[in-house]
Amino acid sequence: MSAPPYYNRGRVFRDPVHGLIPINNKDGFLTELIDTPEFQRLHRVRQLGVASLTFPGTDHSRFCHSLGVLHIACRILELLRSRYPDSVVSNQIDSHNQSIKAAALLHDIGHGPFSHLMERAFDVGKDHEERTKTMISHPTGGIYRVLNSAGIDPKKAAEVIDHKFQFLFLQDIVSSQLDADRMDYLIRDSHFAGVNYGVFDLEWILNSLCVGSYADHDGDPHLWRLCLDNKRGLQAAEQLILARQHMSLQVYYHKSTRRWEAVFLCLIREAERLALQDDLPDQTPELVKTYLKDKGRVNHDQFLRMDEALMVHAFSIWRDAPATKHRWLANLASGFLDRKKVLIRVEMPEDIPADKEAILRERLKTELKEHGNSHWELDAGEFTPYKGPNPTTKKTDKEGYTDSVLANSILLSNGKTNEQATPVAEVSKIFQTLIDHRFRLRRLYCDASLKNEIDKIVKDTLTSSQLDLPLTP
Amino acid sequence: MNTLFQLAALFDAVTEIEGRKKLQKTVHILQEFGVSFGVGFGYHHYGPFSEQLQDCLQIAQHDLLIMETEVPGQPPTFRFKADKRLIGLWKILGDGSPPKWAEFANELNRKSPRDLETISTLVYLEKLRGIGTSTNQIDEEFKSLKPHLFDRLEPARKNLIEFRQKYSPVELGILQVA
Repeated sequence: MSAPPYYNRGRVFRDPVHGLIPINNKDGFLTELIDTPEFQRLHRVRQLGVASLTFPGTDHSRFCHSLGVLHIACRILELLRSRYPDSVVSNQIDSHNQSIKAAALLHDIGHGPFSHLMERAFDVGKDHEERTKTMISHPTGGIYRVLNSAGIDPKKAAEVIDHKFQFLFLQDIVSSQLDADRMDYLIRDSHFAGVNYGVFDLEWILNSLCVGSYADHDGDPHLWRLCLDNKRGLQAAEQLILARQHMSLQVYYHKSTRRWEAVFLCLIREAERLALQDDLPDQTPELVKTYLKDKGRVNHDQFLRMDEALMVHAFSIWRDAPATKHRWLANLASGFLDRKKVLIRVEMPEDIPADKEAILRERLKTELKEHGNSHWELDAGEFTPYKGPNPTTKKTDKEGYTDSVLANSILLSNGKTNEQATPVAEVSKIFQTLIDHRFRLRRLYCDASLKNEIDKIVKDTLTSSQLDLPLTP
Repeated sequence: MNTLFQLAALFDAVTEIEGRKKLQKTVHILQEFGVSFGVGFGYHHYGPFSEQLQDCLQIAQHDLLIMETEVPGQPPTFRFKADKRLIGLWKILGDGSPPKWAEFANELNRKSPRDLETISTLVYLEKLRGIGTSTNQIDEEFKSLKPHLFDRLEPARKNLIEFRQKYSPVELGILQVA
């Protein structure tokens, strides 16, 4: 006998940002996805890596962020459906909403321990997206099984993550400058950091969403984009982008956090060096050794066990390693776990240009070769608050401009899919300013014993004419 | 770093490139032949397009490492040229000689933007659909995406076959012969 309707309401999560996050029984596959080991692992991967060493409240996990993204994505789908009843938009939503919801929920499952920080350690770019796609498509994995039995093609969900989904306005919900991911992480990170910089008018943005188009496409719905209403969305969009800029400057690129990240990166590099020589302390978990040797490219089952709990366990073993050959490893682990200063900052301008940065990096690698790469970290921090096409490009390169707009611009539309939308930077002075502005936060941290040597390299590099530098073989 | 370094190598090889689209497609084709620029490509209105490459170009332009100049005409065209600082980066950090794929880059640079768009889209579709996809299937998909370029598809396919024969990974310096 089936349960009475009252008891058949699905599941509800309490969330400090969104209040209640309900998952209706008609979307029962989402509950099943949440219960897979792949998704449960996100409880043990923090959203902001080591930021809690600076902002003690930021211990929140990728698990709660992913639920938040799902929640916002579901709200966007419902809003668009009600805004465009009996239309191509609502038909496409009905056909694809499960793939979009699955992608929203699963978009971060491929993150390694300490999130983006581990990608920097292994210099592998957006590796978590590749891993996420692989995990969704892994034929013996839990995600694949759940999606398949719910009649959802795992490939479609993976295409959304991979920015290759056939309908851009649906993909935009999960991956764009107006996506549910950004909307959740800004508010959530702000909340847990105890700052107000990431707050923006979420409700008004959601209320302003519509569908529009850019470029000539004969009404092709594949090229429709998620837009903001041109009469009411502009200020909300400006607020969102400023929130991102302020969060980046105040939290994500905070100088103390970046220093702890530098310690972490040096620790991982030192451990990787030792792992490649089979010289890590004996008690180090085998999986950690494999993970380091293979630069994170472990198999599916191994990855499910790779989380921050295991890494911190390894760090505590390394901290107590008595051997001379482990001295630097132990110093770094102790510095990281006990929050002790093991790297110092080298004075240099934060805005050195890209070519000088490249040369400085090569000189440090070459001239400090005997010390390896675990005694210094050149943090090439750089971000632009809004990645968009500059309207001046339109005159010089129409095709390039169009591609840029379709790739990433926030668009303002009157909500009619057969009329052309406007890139936000064409009408907003704030966006025009932000497009041109790059924040450069290059910082160099090093082992105190190398400071004099590194000071000299920095000074030489920054004051010399580039072509005179002693690097040509 | 890798992207900027490879752009330095590219401009050392070709001196100048006309238009952002041509630059995007050239890098896409080279990368598909194994010359890694460390950027990902997605499909956009004018074919494969990389946001990361665009970002790197913006950084290079911001730092005056790459300059865009107008060439008068009807309509005017726009050229990307590298500053000697960027070329210097390749000279300093590379082995001092042009990259092994310089001839290939130059051959691509001599093609029109539309031919490059056709080749680049064809390479993209072949990779996306995988081994075993018939020529007819690719043709159909290409036609639906780019009907205005369909008459260029066969010549582009021939070009691609020639390129694959001529520019093997060993030839391009990507694989070393023992």
